[in-house]
Amino acid sequence: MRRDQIVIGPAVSGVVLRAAAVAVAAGAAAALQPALFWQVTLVLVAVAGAVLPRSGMAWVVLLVLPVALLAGEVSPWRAAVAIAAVHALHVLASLALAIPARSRVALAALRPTAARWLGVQLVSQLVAAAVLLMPRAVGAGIAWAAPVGALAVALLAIILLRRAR
Amino acid sequence: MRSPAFVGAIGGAIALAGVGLIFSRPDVVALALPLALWSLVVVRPPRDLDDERVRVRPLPDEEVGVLSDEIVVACGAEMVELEIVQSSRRTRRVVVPGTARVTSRTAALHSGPVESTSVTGRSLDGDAAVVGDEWRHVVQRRAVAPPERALPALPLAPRLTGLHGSHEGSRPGQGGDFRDIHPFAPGDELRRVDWRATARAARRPGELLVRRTNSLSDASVVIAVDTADDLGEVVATWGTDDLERSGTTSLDHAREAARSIATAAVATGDRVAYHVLVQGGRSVRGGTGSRHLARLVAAIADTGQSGDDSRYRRTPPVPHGSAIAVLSTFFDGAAAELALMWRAAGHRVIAVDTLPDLDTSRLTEPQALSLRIVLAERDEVFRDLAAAGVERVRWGADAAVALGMIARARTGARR
Repeated sequence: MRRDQIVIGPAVSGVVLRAAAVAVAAGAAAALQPALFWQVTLVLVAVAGAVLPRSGMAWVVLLVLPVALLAGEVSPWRAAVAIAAVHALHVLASLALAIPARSRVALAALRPTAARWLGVQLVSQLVAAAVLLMPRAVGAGIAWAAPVGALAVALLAIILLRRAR
Repeated sequence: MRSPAFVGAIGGAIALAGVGLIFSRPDVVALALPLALWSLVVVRPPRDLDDERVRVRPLPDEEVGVLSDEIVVACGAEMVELEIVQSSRRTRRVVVPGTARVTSRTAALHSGPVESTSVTGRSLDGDAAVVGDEWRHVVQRRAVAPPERALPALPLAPRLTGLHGSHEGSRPGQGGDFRDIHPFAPGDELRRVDWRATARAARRPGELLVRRTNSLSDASVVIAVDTADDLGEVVATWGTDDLERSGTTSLDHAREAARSIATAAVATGDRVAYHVLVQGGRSVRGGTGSRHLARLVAAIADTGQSGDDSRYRRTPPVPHGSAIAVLSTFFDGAAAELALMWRAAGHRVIAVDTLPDLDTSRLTEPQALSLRIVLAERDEVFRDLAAAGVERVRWGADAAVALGMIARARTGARR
């Protein structure tokens, strides 16, 4: 027996959470981004974010991922992968900010996180699928949706910023 | 306290939605959705997460030398990050649910008082986006009883008292060996009349002779422990608090010696008192019996190194004619002064040298020279003690033999 033991049940190292963030970034890059340069860039930035969580590099990855989507045509499955990856990266980066790499994390402690991720994913994927699978309009179509969307984004920003205070 | 993850989520959601709108890409706008939803779910008014809901309780020891404690966490947060320090030497960080029971097992490398588990923590809520303030430390202190060594014989006190011990005294009484034949006197029991001696030696009719025996008396043993130093086998660790690499320390020896002497003395019916030679140090008044021994063992197990500012040694009161065991490393001479004072007062004083066998490896040349000097000074202290009639025993593998030899060499005066 080792001299000193802490028994917390099934657990993983804090490093695993950071490695998972890198793995998610690498997987998303491989699935969404055909250009090798962007793939390598994404992985390197993700590694930097994992090593130095306070640098905020993990959120840089979130902003680089849309480049991959913008480079190609609109595709529901690519969007679904990107939505899952963006959310997972954000959650893992948030955990890495507070949980030291050398700590042990009980799997039971991650249960609320997993449940919340699944709930948010369920709503996000359904809404995204409904929007993306809608038939494309011909001509002016629903051009009016652009200013409405802009207003919605502004409203969302105001709500989030006020609640964050 | 909210973590920067909020800024990342809100900023990311707004940026992604804006970029999607600018480029007319609903798939990019959809990327903002999970971040926005996450922010709405997690950005709740912060709950009162700083309730300190952690406590530590000792568990029954499963193995010899292993201390087990249970850390009970009952906090409203989703997760709790705990920082656990085991035996003041190893720090571990774990993340557990808000309601959890954690078992901490740590090996006791030394006897005496130890902080087996010290815990602090903070709550983590909403994917660790809401971080609570650090809790105050909760400490579980334990006292590890030292091992016990069988001592067949102990040096006897110079003065025996009472009529209820196991040592043969010089007074007439009951229980001891034959003393003399004496004319019957009022108060003598009739069953003590020695009829043969009366028939042979009575000089007048009606004169009776009784057979007298010695009384059994108890002795007074005082154990005085000097806790100024706690020096390990490895000299290179002296002056550090590294009790993991120090090996057996002088206080380990002192506690073991104190317990062994106390056990042996109580077993022979002697009265045993215990004193820690520091200002405000713990004292156990003289007594005998198994319950008193349990009190002594608890006091010995709770004896740790005194602070640096407690160089003053008080002089505990000791019964007249006691056998006093002074347990010390005898480096600074203060314990030796007490021993000399007690010896001058007529007590039988045994200087028990608790310094362990030294490992002088990894010492620099100046350190080795310094060690030689302090050891030479210590030898000088022992010479002074020997000149004053203080007997010396080195607490090592053959301590029981050495104590037995001293016990046989001089049995002490009788009263």
